[in-house]
Amino acid sequence: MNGIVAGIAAVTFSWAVLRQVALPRHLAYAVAPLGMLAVLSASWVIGLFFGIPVAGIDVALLVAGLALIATTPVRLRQEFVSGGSPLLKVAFAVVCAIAASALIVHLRRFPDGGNDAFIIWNLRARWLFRAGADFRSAFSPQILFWTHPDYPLLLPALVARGFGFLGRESAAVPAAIAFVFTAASVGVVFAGAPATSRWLSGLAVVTTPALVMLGATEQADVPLAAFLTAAIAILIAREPGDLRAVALAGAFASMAAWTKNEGILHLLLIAAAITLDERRARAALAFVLGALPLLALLVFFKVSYATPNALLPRAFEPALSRALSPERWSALLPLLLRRIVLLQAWGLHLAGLLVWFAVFRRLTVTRPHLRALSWVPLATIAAHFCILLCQPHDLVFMFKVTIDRLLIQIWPSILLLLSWRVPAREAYLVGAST
Amino acid sequence: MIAMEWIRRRWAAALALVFIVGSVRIAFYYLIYEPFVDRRGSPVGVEFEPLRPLLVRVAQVEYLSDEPLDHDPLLPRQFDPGDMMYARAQYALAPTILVHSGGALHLVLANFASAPGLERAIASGHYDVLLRPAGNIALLSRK
Repeated sequence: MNGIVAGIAAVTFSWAVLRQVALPRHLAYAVAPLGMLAVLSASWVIGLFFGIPVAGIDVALLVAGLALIATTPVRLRQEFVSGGSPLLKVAFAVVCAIAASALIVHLRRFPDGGNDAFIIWNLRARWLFRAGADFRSAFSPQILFWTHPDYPLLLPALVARGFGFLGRESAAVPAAIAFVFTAASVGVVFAGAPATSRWLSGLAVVTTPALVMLGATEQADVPLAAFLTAAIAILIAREPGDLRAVALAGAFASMAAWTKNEGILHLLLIAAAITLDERRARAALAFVLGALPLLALLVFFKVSYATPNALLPRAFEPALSRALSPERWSALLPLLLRRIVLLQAWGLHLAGLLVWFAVFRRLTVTRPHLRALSWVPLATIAAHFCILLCQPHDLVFMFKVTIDRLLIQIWPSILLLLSWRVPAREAYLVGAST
Repeated sequence: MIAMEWIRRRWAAALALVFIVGSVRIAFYYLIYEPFVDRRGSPVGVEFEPLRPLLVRVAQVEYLSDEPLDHDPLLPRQFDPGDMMYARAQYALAPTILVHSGGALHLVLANFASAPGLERAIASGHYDVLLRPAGNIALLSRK
């Protein structure tokens, strides 16, 4: 019963907020499940941290959502155009079926997820569910640091809440959540792309082996990618001067930050891009205000419960010398080149992206309101590479265990941003620039 | 340049190739190779499940193993087998903390790579065996 009320409350509240923004209706449908999952997770964590009955929070969310729906107009735009040829639609349906089957088969065979899933995310979920009021032990510095007790809680709390709904632990909960987030990553790209390239964009993301690989192993990078893509999609679809959309993008970016520490970097880069694209303080302020609730929760968690990150304080002391080391650069570049043609993880997708840059990029231009935003993925990659070069561990090991996850976080956003580039010969119509 | 021109003229075919390679890779690995070649994964940490009833309301136990752990986040990671053994045990026995360094505790989880290692630890005479669900795993109490 509690689960039903919580679900209704999360759906109502998420939808009440989404309908305030002048977005295409189909995009709102695509991002709504993400908002709902974030609300379910955050409300449970607030109840846990502050000792508030979660049922009370759910009722408050339900009342707030209903009040918003009753008192505010719907601002969503009805503008879905399917586009695409029948062949593309059939191809999309077939590859979606293949990817979904692959996810289900793997999740059934490995019910606890991949290494990071059970070492970090599902461990924490299990801990929070089993410990109840004694949840603080989940963040004890006495636990081996590789379980990362300082990592944000969106995913573990969501899984733990799922256990609560069932009344027991079940591997089906994290598996179902992984499936939903993977599907949402595809759905947001599909819904966020323009009608002319909607099916191609959907095909590009769902045929990416790394997306299925990381979704099937229940990595938090896929939820992060979904939230990040939702934020980017909202910013792409926003109407000029619409601060509500900017605030909503901030909310989704903060969900990414509440999922993984890397999400904080994404949030900061998007905030910088918004500031540059909008060129007014009110837009940056709207973004921050939208992000504030979950950022406040994240800060509270980091300050009050999380073990201080063991790596950060000392790791970057000799960082500059590491970053400038020719040995590290000479190790990194071949690894990067090899990854581009690593069929197991990326098929021909990364190679295809490079070809697109070489052949087609100069034939297309970015829309004016996306000038800075379109550089966010590249800035993210540059920042990650700086971190890789500066960190103290073996570069080859760290590259191999992190690169696919780092890339998948931004991959759907890259595809979405590419889909909105327009042919240069049409640029004068939209005031676009290279 | 010729390749670039070919791609520019036949971008649809190039794109189709990218999608087909990706789809075939996904389908082959997850729907053909893995189910038929790779054995099914067992639930992580199931070997520790018999110990859980004994650890209800136990906040901490000492972790004892013959496999070293990576304690220092600043040092290169080099003890992956030991780290994974610890992770599987901690996953199964949460919310009891497996204290891997520091002072000795009354209860000890012995998680060894092999049974002879555990035999030697027991033969040292420092512990009583409370439960030994597997040759290399036991819950011990310090004498």
